[in-house]
Amino acid sequence: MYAVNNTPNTRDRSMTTDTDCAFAIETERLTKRFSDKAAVDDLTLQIPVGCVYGFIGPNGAGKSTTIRMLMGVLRRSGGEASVLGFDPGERREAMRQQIGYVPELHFIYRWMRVRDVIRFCRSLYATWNDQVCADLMKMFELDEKKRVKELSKGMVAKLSLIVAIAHEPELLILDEPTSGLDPLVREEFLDGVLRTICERQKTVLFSSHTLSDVQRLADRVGIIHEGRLLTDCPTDELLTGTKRIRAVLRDGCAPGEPPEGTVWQRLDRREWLLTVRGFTPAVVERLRAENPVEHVEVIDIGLEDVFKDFIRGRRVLA
Amino acid sequence: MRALLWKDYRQNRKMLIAVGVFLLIPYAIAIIAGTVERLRLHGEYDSYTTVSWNQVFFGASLWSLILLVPACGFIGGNAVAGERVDRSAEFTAYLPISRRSAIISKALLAIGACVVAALVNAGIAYVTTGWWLLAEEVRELRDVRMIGEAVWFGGATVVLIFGISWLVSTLTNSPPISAASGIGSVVLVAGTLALVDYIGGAREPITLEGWYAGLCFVLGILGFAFGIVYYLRRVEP
Repeated sequence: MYAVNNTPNTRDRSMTTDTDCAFAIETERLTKRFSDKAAVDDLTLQIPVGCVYGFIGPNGAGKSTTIRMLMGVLRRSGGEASVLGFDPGERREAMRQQIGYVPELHFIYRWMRVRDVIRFCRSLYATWNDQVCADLMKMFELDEKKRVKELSKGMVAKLSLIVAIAHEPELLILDEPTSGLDPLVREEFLDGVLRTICERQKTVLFSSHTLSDVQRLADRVGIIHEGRLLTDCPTDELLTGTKRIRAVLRDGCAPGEPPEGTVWQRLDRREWLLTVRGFTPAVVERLRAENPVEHVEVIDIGLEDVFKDFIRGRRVLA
Repeated sequence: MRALLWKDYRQNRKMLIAVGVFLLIPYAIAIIAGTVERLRLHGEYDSYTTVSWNQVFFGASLWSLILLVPACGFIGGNAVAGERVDRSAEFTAYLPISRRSAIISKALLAIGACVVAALVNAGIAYVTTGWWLLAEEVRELRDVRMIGEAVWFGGATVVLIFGISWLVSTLTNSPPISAASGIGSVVLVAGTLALVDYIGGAREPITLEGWYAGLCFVLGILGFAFGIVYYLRRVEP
C-alpha cells in the first residue's frame, strides 16, 4: 500500500524551488518550547513526496504546533525543518504558494460572500485553477452568493478545502479538518480530499482524531505524544505488525516479563492483555514458554486501538 | 496588493461609514441651523445680520476637522485589531501573503481615510472662506499664522492619536481599547506637560506649545513605527 510516488509533475513549476527532493517534509530534532515546557521535543520526521501521512496524537500532543512550525507561522526553538525544499522560517510566501492548508477552525472572513473568498484567494495564488475550483464548487453544492456567516460549519469546511485545493498545491496540510462535522459532511469532505490525492498524487499531511478517517486515507502514520514521535511507519505495517494478545494465566500464577515490543499491558485477575508491536508467531511461542499461561489468543486491532494502547502504555511508563 | 486593499476596505467599511457619519454631524447641524434661521426671518434676508451659507459651511468644516482628531483614533485603532476580533487574521496568516504587504495595505487604508477626510474638510473650509472675501469676521481667522498654528497643533495631535492607537491595535485584539489609548495619550501628554509646568514654575506659553507639538509628533511616529515592527514579528493569533 505504501509507496513513494515518483511520477513527474507536469504542472507549471516555475514557482518551485527544490521540490524534487525525496521528502516533502523533513524535520531534524525539531523543537518548540513555550517557556520551560517543550510542546514539540526533538521531532525527527520524514514524509516522502506523494505520501498521505496520518499525524495522530492526543490533545496537546504537539500536532498543531508542529504544523504551525511547518507552515512558518510559529518560529521553532531548535532543530531543522524543510518543507518542499523550503526552510519554513524563510521565504514563507513562496512556500505557501505550494501548500494547501485546512485548519480545525475556519476563520474565513464572515462578511465575504463565497465568490469573494474565491476571488480573494485566486488573486493570491499564481497556480489557481478555475476548473478545479468550479468542479469542487459543484461537487460541494456551494452557493457562491451566500455570505460565509450564512454557511453551516460543514459548508465552511468545504469552502476551506476548496481554497486549499484549487491552486493545486504540492502539499496539502489538514489539521483536524473534520472536527465537529457530522458524518455525512465528513464523508463529503473526505471525498474531496481523496479526489485530490487520487487525481493529482499530492503529498498530504493529515492530522485527525477521527482515526477511521486516518486509517482510510493514510499510507503512513506517525503517533505523537507529549511532543515526541512514538512511532512512524506505513499504516499497513503498523496494523499488521501490532496485535493484541489475550493470555489467560494459570490459577494463582503471576505473569513474567512481557515480550519485547510490548507497548501496553493490563492484568485483570487471570486475564493478561498485551499489545505488541512487531508481532510474529514466535512472540506467542515465547509467551507460552516463558509464562504460566493456559490459553493465548491473538486479536487483530484497528488503528484506534493501536493508538490508544500506544498512548496508554506511554502514560503508564511516565 | 489590490486584493489586500479591497479586503481591508471591506473589513473596515462599517467603521469608515460610522466615522463618515460622525464627521457629517457638524454639517447636518449647520444646515438645520441655517435653514431655521432663514425660516425665522420669513425670507427677509439681511446680509449684515444673517449668517451666510458660506459662514455656515466654514464653521461646519472646522468642527468636522476638530472631530476628525478623535476619529483618527478609531481608524488607527481598528486597523489591525479589527481583524483579530473575528479571528480572520488567522485565516490570512496561512495564505501566501507577506506580513509586509499586509501591514502596508492596512497603513495605506487607515492613513488614506484620515487624509481624505482632512482634505475634504480643509477643501470646504478653503472654498467657503475664499468665496467669503468681504466678511470682516473671518479676516482674523484667515490670518496665515493662526491657520498655520491650528494645522500644526491639530496635525501633531492627530499624529499622536493615530500613532498610539495604531500601536495598541497591533498589540491587542480590541479596537475600542486601541482607540481609547490613542485618545487618552493626548490627555496624558498634555496633562504631563501641565504638571511639569506647574511644578517647575510658569514658562512662556510658546515653550509649552512647542514641547506639546514636538512630543506628539515624536511619540506618534514612534508608536506607528513600533506598531509596524511588532506586527511584522508577531505570530497570529
